[in-house]
Amino acid sequence: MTSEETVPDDLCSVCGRRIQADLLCEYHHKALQNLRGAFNDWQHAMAIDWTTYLDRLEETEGVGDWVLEIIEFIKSQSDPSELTQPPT
Amino acid sequence: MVISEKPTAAKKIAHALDESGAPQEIKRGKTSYFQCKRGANDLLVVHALGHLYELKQTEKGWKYPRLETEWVPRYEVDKKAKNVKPIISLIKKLSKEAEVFVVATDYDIEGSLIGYLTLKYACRTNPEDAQRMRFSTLTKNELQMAFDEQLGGLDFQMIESGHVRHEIDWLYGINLTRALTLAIKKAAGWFKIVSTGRVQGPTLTFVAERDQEVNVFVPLPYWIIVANGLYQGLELELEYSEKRIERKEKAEAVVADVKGKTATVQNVKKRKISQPALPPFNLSSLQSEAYRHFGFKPSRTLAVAQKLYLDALISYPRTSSEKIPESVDTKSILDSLGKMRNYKSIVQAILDSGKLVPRQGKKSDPAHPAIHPTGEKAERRLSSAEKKVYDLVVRRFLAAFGEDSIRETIRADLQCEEHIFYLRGIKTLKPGWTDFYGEYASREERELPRLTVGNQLQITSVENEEKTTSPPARYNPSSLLKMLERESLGTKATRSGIVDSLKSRGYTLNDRFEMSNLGYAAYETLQRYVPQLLSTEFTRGLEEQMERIQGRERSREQVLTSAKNDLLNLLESFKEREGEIGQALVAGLKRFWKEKEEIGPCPKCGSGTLLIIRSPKTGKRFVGCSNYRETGCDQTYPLPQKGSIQPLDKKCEYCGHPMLRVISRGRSWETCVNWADCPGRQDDLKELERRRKKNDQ
Repeated sequence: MTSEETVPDDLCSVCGRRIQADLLCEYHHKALQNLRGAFNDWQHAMAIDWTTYLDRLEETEGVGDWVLEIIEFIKSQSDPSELTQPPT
Repeated sequence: MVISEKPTAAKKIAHALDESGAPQEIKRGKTSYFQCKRGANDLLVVHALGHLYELKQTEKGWKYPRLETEWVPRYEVDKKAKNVKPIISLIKKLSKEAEVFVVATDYDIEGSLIGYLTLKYACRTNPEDAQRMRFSTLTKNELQMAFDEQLGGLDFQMIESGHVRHEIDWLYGINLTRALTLAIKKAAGWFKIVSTGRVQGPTLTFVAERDQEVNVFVPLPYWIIVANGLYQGLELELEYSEKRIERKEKAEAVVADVKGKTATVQNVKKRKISQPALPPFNLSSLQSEAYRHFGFKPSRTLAVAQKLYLDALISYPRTSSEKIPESVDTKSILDSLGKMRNYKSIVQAILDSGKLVPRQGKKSDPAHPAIHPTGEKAERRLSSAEKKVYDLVVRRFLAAFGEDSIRETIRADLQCEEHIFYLRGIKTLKPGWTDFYGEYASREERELPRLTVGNQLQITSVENEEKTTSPPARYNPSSLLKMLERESLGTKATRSGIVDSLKSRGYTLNDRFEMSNLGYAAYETLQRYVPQLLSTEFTRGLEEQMERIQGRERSREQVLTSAKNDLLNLLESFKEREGEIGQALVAGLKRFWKEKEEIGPCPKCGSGTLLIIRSPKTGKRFVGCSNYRETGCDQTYPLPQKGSIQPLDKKCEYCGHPMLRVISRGRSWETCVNWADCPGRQDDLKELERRRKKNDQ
């Protein structure tokens, strides 16, 4: 697939599997949930904002592949949406 | 006629049973047999080659369901098994002259079935009239005793159990693989075999579930305190009482509090630990230990142990037992090992101690004792792997005679401000069995100076170190094998093959059991449409049914009929949704091929993707840009033509091009797609050129 092709509506925006929730397949949806859930723990541990958190994770060893793909997906979105924003 | 399982075993048996110790080997074309004399008996010792007969469907057609089978010579279903034909012909011919048949195959389910099928189809005799030799080693004494004193009838319960295991595995493996493969064919017209099996499904589930945990893992930060203290000129490493500090602020506060201060010993605790000797090996503990020390995959360890058994150097390896019964003459084995240079001093220490009873483990096996050396000397030069496994078996056996190992742990608690630090030490007071087990025993020693309450240490350095939590460990061949054993899936003989099959079928990418997209395609489809096949309970239920045959609680027919009914129901519901299943598998396959072919973004046009392409004209492979047809981007790179190529998710440190792994002729190496022009790889290219020229000369 080249970068100009678009993903059909019923398929995961990251990997092309069938969507489960939030435009994502069950794996990437779980990765997103974990990413958002862990942000609270990181904030408790140190002063860190959402963007720095995402940058830090990209350089951290042990981050799951699907989590990294979600981070890349979030960063590629030009329009802010609930999906790409930090949990409140 | 004495029927053995393999040529090497036939030779050992013939030499042991022939009164002169020199049986006559008679060659017949590509095979041979032995003639020997024992008392009034003229013996013919023939060999099988593992299974000579396999199951084949009776109805024609590569379709499903196919539920009726018959046993046929193996070469009829496996084209590679041509070497079986002359063996069957020879046994058929010789059996016409034989009056009495003795089965001398391995004494386990598979060995018993091999003997039974050979009697029934090659010898065409009634298996109920045949006799059985039972032995656990191929040593002369044991074989003679098995023949002269312990002959009995065949173990039909074991045979029935093996029989039904083969039938059920065939039914599930063949029908479900065909169902998956034909679903793809109907959906996309491709013929791509996607296999599954009775035990493979749950095994794939273990790997997939772990892979998912790893892939969705987000590490959390924590801090540790790294501190050193000076005591009587000795620099000692201190351990902070809180192993993980969850907040950076708190970790910084600890450092600030104790920097440059003095810590005082509050108390010193000593504890003695007595570690009893490890029991002798069964197959699974041998495989686990060989993986730990030598990195051998379980299937390799089994193959090596099997060779050592056939050379009569160790006992039968496919055993669950951790016990050495009294019937094993341990004194004579020790005497023989004592004549070997490597073990002389250990054996002497055991004999001096007078403790000639080895430690027994908990697990038992009615057919065979724990794996132990026979004491016989190797008649050939052992390979490096064989030497390693043999040494491990011998030392574990010797260690079982050792006394408990006594170790002492010391923990001193030190206070500095309101913080507690520990100093830990460990030392061996009495090595016991660990001395016999040698380098395979872990004996970490950490000496501490004599410390008493009130002693003071000057903190010389202290800092906090940021760490992050780690994902759960992926399976390795050894841990996956243990999981199958713990869940009672498969048998000790089949588990290592099942573990290997995940990789050989492309479901996992490497020995770290990372799932491929093909693995996910199979897993997700089965999970959605036939979840029973992935269920541990379903497979374990079948295992239990098969075991009941051995315990005479159920008949083979009952178990088989019930398994066929279950399978038929599964296949019917599968067929109803064949279209959806096919589409799901095709989507997964597309992801799998994409993963295998896509190298990374094209550095020339920026918008295309570099792909592995095979030229339709020359058949040669190369890397080209996906935009070639649309925009004419002509970026190409040459590729090695032999071996397999896996795209890697990283860039070359010298030129920034995407990296590849090449696997060829048993070697694996990483290079970049730009290898021919990469400035960092010119020396490698020169070396390659030099080697090529040398080979040409």
